[in-house]
Formats: sequence, C-alpha cells, structure tokens
Amino acid sequence: MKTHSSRRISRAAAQQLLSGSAGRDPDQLARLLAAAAAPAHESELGGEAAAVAAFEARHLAPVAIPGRGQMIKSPLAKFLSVKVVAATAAVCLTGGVAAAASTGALSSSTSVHAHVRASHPVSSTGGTSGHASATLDLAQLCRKLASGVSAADGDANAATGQALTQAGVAQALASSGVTQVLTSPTFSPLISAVNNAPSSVPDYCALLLRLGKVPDPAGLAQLPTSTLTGLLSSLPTQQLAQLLTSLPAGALSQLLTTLPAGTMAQLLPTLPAAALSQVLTTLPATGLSQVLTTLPAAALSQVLTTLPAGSLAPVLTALPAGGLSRLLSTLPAGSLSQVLTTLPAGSLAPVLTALPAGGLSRLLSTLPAASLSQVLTTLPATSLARVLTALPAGVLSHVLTVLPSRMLSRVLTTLPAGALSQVLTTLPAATLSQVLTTLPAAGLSQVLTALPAQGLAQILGQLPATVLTKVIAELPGSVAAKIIGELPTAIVAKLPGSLLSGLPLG
Amino acid sequence: MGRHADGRAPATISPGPVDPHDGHRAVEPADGAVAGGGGLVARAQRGDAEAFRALYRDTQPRLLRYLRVLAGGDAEDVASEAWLQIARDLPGFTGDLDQFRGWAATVARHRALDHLRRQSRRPAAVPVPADDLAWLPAGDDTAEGALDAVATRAAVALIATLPPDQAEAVLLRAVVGLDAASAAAVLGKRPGAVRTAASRGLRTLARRLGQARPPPASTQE
Repeated sequence: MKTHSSRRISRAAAQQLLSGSAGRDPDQLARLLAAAAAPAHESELGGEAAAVAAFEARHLAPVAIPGRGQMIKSPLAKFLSVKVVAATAAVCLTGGVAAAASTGALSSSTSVHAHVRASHPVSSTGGTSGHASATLDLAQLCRKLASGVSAADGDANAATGQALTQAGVAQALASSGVTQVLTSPTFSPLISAVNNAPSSVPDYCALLLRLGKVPDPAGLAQLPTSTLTGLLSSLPTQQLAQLLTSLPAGALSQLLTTLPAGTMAQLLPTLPAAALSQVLTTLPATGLSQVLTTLPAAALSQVLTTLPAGSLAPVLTALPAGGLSRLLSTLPAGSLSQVLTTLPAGSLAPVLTALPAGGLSRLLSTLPAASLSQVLTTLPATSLARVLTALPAGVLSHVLTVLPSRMLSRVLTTLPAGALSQVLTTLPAATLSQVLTTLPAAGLSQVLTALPAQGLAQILGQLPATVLTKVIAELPGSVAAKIIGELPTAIVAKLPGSLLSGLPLG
Repeated sequence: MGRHADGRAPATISPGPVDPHDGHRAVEPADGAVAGGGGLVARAQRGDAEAFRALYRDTQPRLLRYLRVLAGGDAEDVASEAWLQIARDLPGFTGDLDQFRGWAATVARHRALDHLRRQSRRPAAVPVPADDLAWLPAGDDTAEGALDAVATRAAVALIATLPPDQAEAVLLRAVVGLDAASAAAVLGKRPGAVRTAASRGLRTLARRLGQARPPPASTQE
C-alpha cells in the first residue's frame, strides 16, 4: 500500500483521499474522511424494518396460486410475483420510474409478459403433478376482464378485440357483468390476489391500472391491507390525490382508518395542499380525529402546516376536544405557532376554548412570546376571558409575564371586569407586581379603574409598599385619587404622605 | 499526536470483499452465493428481501450522512421517504451496486429537495458539537472502536459546514463512494465541477483541522 504525504493537498491527492485510497496516511484530513465513511452504526439503521416491510409489501403482493388459496412463499414464487409487479410497473409506466426509463431499463418492457410457472395440478393435462405454464400478468388480466365485461355488455369495439380506453375500462369494471365474467377460471389469480373476495376485484384492478377512481369506494377498505398499502403507495401523487378526493366521506374515512400509521404518514404529506384540504375536510369528525391523532408528530406537523387557513380552521374545529388537545400537544412549538397564528380569529377562539385546562396550559406555555401575543390579542374578549381564567396560577403568570408591555396592556384591557379581577387575584404577589409595573400608564389606569372595589383592594393590598407607591404614582392624579378613595385605610396607610399630599383627595 | 505509522486505513462502510474494478467495497450477500454487488441488486429486484436488506445496510448509512447536508436534523425522515421510493421503483432500475448507490443518492437528493420545498426553508443544521474536533482520534487512540458513532457524526457535521456544493461533492465522493462522474450525475453537474468542488472542500477542511488541532487531554472550545 502506498503512503501519501498530504500536508498540501494536490488535486491528485484530493482524488485519492476522496476515493478512500489514501493508504496509511494518518493525516487528520484522512482520519476525518475515514470517520465520515466509517462502517454502519446501529443507530443509523433504525429504518431497516420499515424499509424491508415496504419492499415486501410491494414485491410480495399476495399472488396466490389458483387452487391453493395461500400466499406463495418459495423463492421461486417470490421471483415470479416480482416479475408480475415489474411488468405491471412497466405497463403503467409513469413519472415515478422515469429515471429508470431514461437509462433504458424499461425501454423494451412496456409489453412485458411475466411468465409464471406455477406448480399446481391442472386436470386437463392429465397429470396431477405436471407443471403448467401460464402467462400471468395481473394488470393484463384486469384489462382482459374489462374487455370481457365490455363484450358481454355488447360493446362492439370490445367484441372486435379493440383495446378499451381507460374510461372504457373504468366503465366495464363498474358494470354488474363483472361478477359473471369473473367466474371464468382465467381470472382466478385476480380473485386470489384480493383474498378470495371477488367483489374486491374491480377496485383492485382500478388501483392497479391507475384509473384515478374506484368503482366501489365503499368496498375499498375490504382489500387486504398490505395490498392496499402497496397499491396506494405506488400511485403517483396526482393519481393518489385524484383517488382520495373522489371518495365519498364514509369510504374515505374507512380507507384512511384502515391504513397503517406508517402508510398514512407517508401518503398524506405527499398530497398537494388542495387535495389534502379536500380529503381532511371531507372526513367525518371521528375519522378525522383518528387519522390525525394516528400520525407521527413530523407527518402531522407537515400536514397541518400545509393546509391553507380556510381548511385548517374547519379541520381543527371539527375535532372533539380530547382529540384536538392530544393533537396540538403532539406538535412541536414551531408548527404549533404556525398553526395557531394561521387560524382566523373566528376559529382560533373555538379551538382554544374547546381545549381542556391541561391542554390549554401546555399549549400556551409552549408558544413563543410573539405567537402568544398574536394568539391572545386575536381572541375576542369573552374567549380571552375564558382562556385566561381557565389557566392555573403558574401558567397564567408565565403567560402574562412573557407578553411585551403593549400586548399585556391590550390583553388586560380587553378582559371584562370580572375576568380581569379573577386573573389579577390569581397571580402571586411577585408576578402581580411585575405585571402592574410593566403596564404603561394608560393601560394601568384602565385596568385599575375597571376593577370592582373589593378586587381592587385585594389586588393592591398584595403589593409591597414600594410597588404600590410606584403604581399609584404612575396614575394621573384624578385616577389615583379615585382609587385611593376606594381603598381601605390599612392600605392607604402604606403610602408615603408626600404622594398623598399631592393628590386631590376628597 | 503527529503521524503514526499505524494510522488506520480509511474504513469503508461495509465489511466485505473489495470490488476489484474500483476499490469500493461491496456488501457480502447473506448466503455468499453472489460475489458482486450487481448480483445483490439483481436478487433484490427478483424479490429477495434479504438482498434488499443487505442493500439497505450498505447504502442507508451513506445516504443518511449525505442527507445531513441537505436536510439537517430531518435526514432520517427524508431517508425513510427515499427508501419507500427505492423499494417502489427498484424493479425498473438497471445497474450494479455502485450504480445503485448513485441512483439511491439521486432519489434521496430529490426527496430532500422536495422536503425543503415543503418546509420552504433550510432546516437548522445539526450543530457541530462544541468539542467537535476532540473526536479526531489522535494516532494512539485509533484503537478498534475509536471511530465510533460520535466521531462519524462529528465528522459529517464538520463536512456539512462547508458551502453546500462542496459538502455535497465531498460526501458523495468520500462517503457515498461515488466516482466523480457518478457524483456529477447525482448533482446534475459536470464531473470537472464536482472534482473542483470536492478539492476546494478538502482544502477548507484541512485548513480548519490544522487551525483547530485539539490538545490531547482536554478541549476548551
């Protein structure tokens, strides 16, 4: 092995370093690159199970041997079923495999027939253990099925052997004649592919042929979950969006609640905003709640931050309080801020007031100051009162002391007198002092004069003499006089004479 | 901590026989039946889940480290998305293990760019640990296992501080294991441009390493 001196990196040395052939040079840079290219660490392979499962879901689509009624397990069979999938992918060549197509990989395979040698008894050959050859291509079988139905329904084109258009195929698959045509043994692989439920064949074929919608939306969720997962994840985004937005609410809900969380997490964030909006606003409340609370935090963040304000509002307000609380508490602070500040005032209020105290506390203490200000100042007076009076003292203190003085003033002066009194008397003395001394003079006047006499006495009585003096001195003379007039003498006695002497006390 | 004659040769990601034509190591198939990486790819394409698993174990760490530059802390999520697409489109792929890595890097890059578009911002880079250079195993410390996960993370994080084009070039070449032409194909650039970017990146790294050589026992920075 050669040894290179690479104190000064020449172009050639750089190329050697980059190709990992720097030999035994212990130079720091070589060690850096060696560390960067070190063998796999277990922590990096966390997604292995999910990746292999996705691979298996796609490549071991349940292609059962007719008459056996069970999944093929042998390596040969795996090989065969993969050929079928490969052929299907080739037939339905779309953008997703364009990269492969550009390399010429698929150039000759648009008419691929996968040859499946299935080992099963075929009585017509006279042998019970003979190996029958059959050309099996599920996508082609689907087309054949459609042609058969179309011919039976009296379509002249199909009778003359002309290929059906996609619309023709869709029409044929939706025909009641499918049941009859499916009884032919030719189509038994299709029936096996859908867990021996002939009624699921039209939907299966529609997905496989990427027709954009399915003839029997209500039956979609009856397809074997792994098959459904595989087919849906293989659809190009546009097709998936088209399919999901074509489903009526019930079927959509059933489908989405059937899919495993991982698939949902993969599928939903790929949808364009408009389709995602439509899908989520179509779902009935329970389905919506289930779908959204199933999503892992990252996917949920992405979904909610993708939704435009117009859809985000109905989605969040449709959720039951428990689901909403769970969902909002799942979001990281950044997404939460984005979601809440996107909501128009009319929706923000019902969302926040629907939350139980615990969820609300967590939410308000998670928001950064700027978003918190925006959220609180957006709320109308009654909602603001409900929100703030629901908070325990600790969270309330946090919320009010985080707000910048102008926003604090706006929030407190928006509160109706009763709520204001409740909020201020809830605060511990230290926070109360901070809040009152933070308020600008005008806000302070408004807040103190809004308080009923008893609340005022209770609140000001809590303040240390110095803070009380500062607060009173801040007020315009007439207001100060009015307030002092309402205070019990015990509190007034704390004030320095110099302050009192300057006031127009009656 | 000068140069030591016993400094280890750069490790590559997977143990396995050296693929003679380019010096990159190929993953040894689980059953030892297929010698070349191309065989592994072909087996996975025929539906062999174990072959696919071996491809994952070979390529995932490379992708993940590469994605740190593009997607920062979201690299794992983006890598997962990339693997779903790889699993989906594998039947349509043609090539051997090296070409597979190139294709996988292309898929990962596209998913990362989509991700960034959705986020409409670059994610905060994973912060380089304060003692990011303390990991550098000084000669005596290059014992077995010294190049642990922390060292790898720190090394990748340091590379990720380069300007993006340089960081991508260095990682595609040195970590993903692509030659200049394949790296250029992933990036949609000319090979010459990739070579230049990679060389610049290495020079910058060498300069930073030279400036910040850590003391042997403790690091104040």
